[in-house]
Amino acid sequence: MLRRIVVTQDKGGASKSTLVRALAEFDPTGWVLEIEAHRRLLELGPRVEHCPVRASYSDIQNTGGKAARAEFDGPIDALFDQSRPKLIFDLGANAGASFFATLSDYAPAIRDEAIEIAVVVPVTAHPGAQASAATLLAVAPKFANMSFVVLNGMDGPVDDSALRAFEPTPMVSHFAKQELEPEALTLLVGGGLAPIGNLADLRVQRRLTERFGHGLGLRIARDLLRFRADAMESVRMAAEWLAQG
Amino acid sequence: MSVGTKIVEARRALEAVVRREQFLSVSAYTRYLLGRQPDMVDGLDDPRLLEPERVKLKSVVRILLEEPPRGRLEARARHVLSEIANLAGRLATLDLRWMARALLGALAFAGLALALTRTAQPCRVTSPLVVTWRLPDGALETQSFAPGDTVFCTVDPHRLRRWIPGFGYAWGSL
Repeated sequence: MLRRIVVTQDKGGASKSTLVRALAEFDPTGWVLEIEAHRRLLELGPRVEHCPVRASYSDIQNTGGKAARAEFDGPIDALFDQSRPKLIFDLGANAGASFFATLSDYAPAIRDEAIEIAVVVPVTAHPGAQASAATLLAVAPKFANMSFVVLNGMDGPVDDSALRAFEPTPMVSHFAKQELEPEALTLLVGGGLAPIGNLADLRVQRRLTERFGHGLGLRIARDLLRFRADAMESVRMAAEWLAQG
Repeated sequence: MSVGTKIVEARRALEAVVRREQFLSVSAYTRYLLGRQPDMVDGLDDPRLLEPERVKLKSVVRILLEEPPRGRLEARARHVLSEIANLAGRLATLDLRWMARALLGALAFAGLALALTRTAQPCRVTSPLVVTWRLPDGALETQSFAPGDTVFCTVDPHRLRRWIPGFGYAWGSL
């Protein structure tokens, strides 16, 4: 049986790639498909396959009909690829609704091949993110078995009452607002989550304290480890679903 | 490795760093408490101090600047004792309990030594006495005492101590 997780949110800056990275932390050899205009998950190395898509929603829509579907030929091929039993899809901003429409077209084939799909939608307090989440969660049941919503507190508390009204009710988790030292943020943007796990090693911590001093070095280590642990916790249910398949 | 185990590992790594930060903060704070007052003031900018220890150090510095000399010593002793108790509570959660016990023993010893060497007791002069004081700046000063006067003696009865406001301690020998 093939299991796929699609992480998507058409509003940019909702920590979508962070959640993809957090899911990837649970399976260090698992495949990731990055459907983005430009490759971003560089630190994950060769286990990431990059499928370039047009950057803007209007560009994608303007291609229309067959051309729009052709945009996603690579990801659809990967969806049915029997050699990769588990696969995480990182769907770039503005591509979510179009890709979901394409997946809906393939729903009969997805059922025939017994492919199980879960969607993970991060939602912030931003109205654009909430509107996109509502659209995606409305379409997802056409092809997906499970929906997970991650309430991201980065812009303040998120009202999820409207999202819980969907049938079937999505599984809801939280990703708390993170306070990071500027140096920690720089390291996070540069290296993603993968190197953070190494900070459990005292020798790696020592390199940080030698570079930034004891106080700041340990604060950076604490900020990064908290960020990683919180991000992993926020996708725990989705990771368990993927692992069970 | 299961999903749950991976999350537990991630949390443990975080908790280990948090404990290390707290340990370094409490250790630095305790060292300042046991050290000299100017070092204590400089310590307010020590980046190893977390907010709780920085706030406590500020309050100790404030007390030391406001209290009379004997009050300062008592205030410092009170804080040292409360910190030993506080540190004991925090270290009890560490896996390295042998290190905690060793550190606690060292702290208790240091506290006792501090109390023994620095606490001066009032002594009544029973016969005429001439004391040569060494002032904080190194200068010498001679002072006579009549029977009934009070001087402050340390544990060594031949060492006397006198507080000069705004200047520091003068140490006297007979």
